[in-house]
Amino acid sequence: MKGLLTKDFSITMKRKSYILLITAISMLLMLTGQSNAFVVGYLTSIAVVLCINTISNDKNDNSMAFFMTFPVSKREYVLSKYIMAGCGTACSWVIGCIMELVYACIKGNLVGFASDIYGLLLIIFLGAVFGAIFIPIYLKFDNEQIKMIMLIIFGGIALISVAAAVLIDFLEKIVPFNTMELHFNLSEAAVLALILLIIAIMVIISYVTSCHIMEKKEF
Amino acid sequence: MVELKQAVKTYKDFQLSVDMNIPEGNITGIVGRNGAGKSTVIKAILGLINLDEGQVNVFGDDIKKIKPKDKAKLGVALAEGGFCVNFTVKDICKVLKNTYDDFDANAFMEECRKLDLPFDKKLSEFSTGMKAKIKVLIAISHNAKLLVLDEPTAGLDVVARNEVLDMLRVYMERKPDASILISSHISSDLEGICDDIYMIKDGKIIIHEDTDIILSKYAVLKVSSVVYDKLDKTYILKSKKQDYGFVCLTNEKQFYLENYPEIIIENGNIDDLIIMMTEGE
Repeated sequence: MKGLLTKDFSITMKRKSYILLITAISMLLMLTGQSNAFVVGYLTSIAVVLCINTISNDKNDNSMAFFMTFPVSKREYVLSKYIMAGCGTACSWVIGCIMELVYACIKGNLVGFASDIYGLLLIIFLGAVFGAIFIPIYLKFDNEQIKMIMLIIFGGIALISVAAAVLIDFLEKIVPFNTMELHFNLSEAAVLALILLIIAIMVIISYVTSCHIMEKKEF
Repeated sequence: MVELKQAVKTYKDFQLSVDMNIPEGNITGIVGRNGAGKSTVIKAILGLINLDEGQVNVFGDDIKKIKPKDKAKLGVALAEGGFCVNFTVKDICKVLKNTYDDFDANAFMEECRKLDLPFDKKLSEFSTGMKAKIKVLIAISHNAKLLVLDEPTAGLDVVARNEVLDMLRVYMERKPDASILISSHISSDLEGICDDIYMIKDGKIIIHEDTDIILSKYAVLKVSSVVYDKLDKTYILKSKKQDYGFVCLTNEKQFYLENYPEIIIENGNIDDLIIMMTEGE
């Protein structure tokens, strides 16, 4: 599997200019006053998709069949993609946080940065969710279908977000309640643990599904 | 080394149904027209497709249950598919080093240098000949016991083809216990290197013969219609109508040389075999 990871890392590093562009956009977002979580979230989500996109690369060059002749099992191939997504999440999150920390130091607003730590930690989970959702999709469908599915997913997320905001706004007008009460009086640590558990289950289900897809896959 | 036992794979409009055996130390060729099933056989041997019936054994084990350490004994060059076209020789070397225990990075780079393969150029910028050479070089780079090469010489000029075939000859001299399965459209490639040849048509093996026998015992007879009517057809495998009469394929050249000295008898080759077995009746 070390060979597969080396291959994926090399493919990702071939897109240096794209990585630099995304980092520059993130800096721009930071300088224009976007929240820490938004900037780090943007960087992380793009990085995860970039890592998962190595599956598309394998399909584009018809390389997947060739890599299946390597001394690795189909499960190891799948695992390598989750490891890549995990590494992408971790690296981009650390880079994003360092960027924000440096900017906070320059502005002398370390307290503001510290108060965002909870939100920043949640971004790591965003990376895991992206990986859990997209890896099986990338493995199952061909590249043209993936573009359409991505469009539907992101369009769906946007629609749901808008609908949820409108609904909450409407509910608050007719039933006065504080949306923060939705935390059910749990501590931040408990919420974090709960989210961690849900995401761990998601990742396990995603991995098992991906393995199943690969076992059935023919080249 | 490799055994296909009643291997059946059915697609919408095609069915592969073959039995094959590749012994240790053998170079086996597989020929057939486009769409005959050559690549499907190779995919079955490599476990890249799931068979509907039958079994493929590689190194004595079912390919579906092959362990990674045994898979490391496979060297593969696929007709379509290989490393990412953005990769350079240096990138490939790094990946192979982290994939195979027996991979010797220095020897690989040295071979690339000998074959004039640039280290820092992307594969997409390689010529057809360079691409073919790097594919075969990758397959033989880690002391594989079984090389599976799908059309390794396709699209190459005669010099490049010879270079690729020489790489295989040198490999077999160095590792005489290794086996090679090679598919090709270019029959002269197979005649010059293979110990035996399988011919496949519509997903079925129609001939399996030693190359020496094909070259020594098979022949093409060219006869007029009158002679054809009187000809003993016991050893005629296929016949095909022509303007001047008939062209016939036999696997007993000597019989016709002795009994019909007046007819034109041309030595058999794999091209004739393919043409006659696929177009003859």
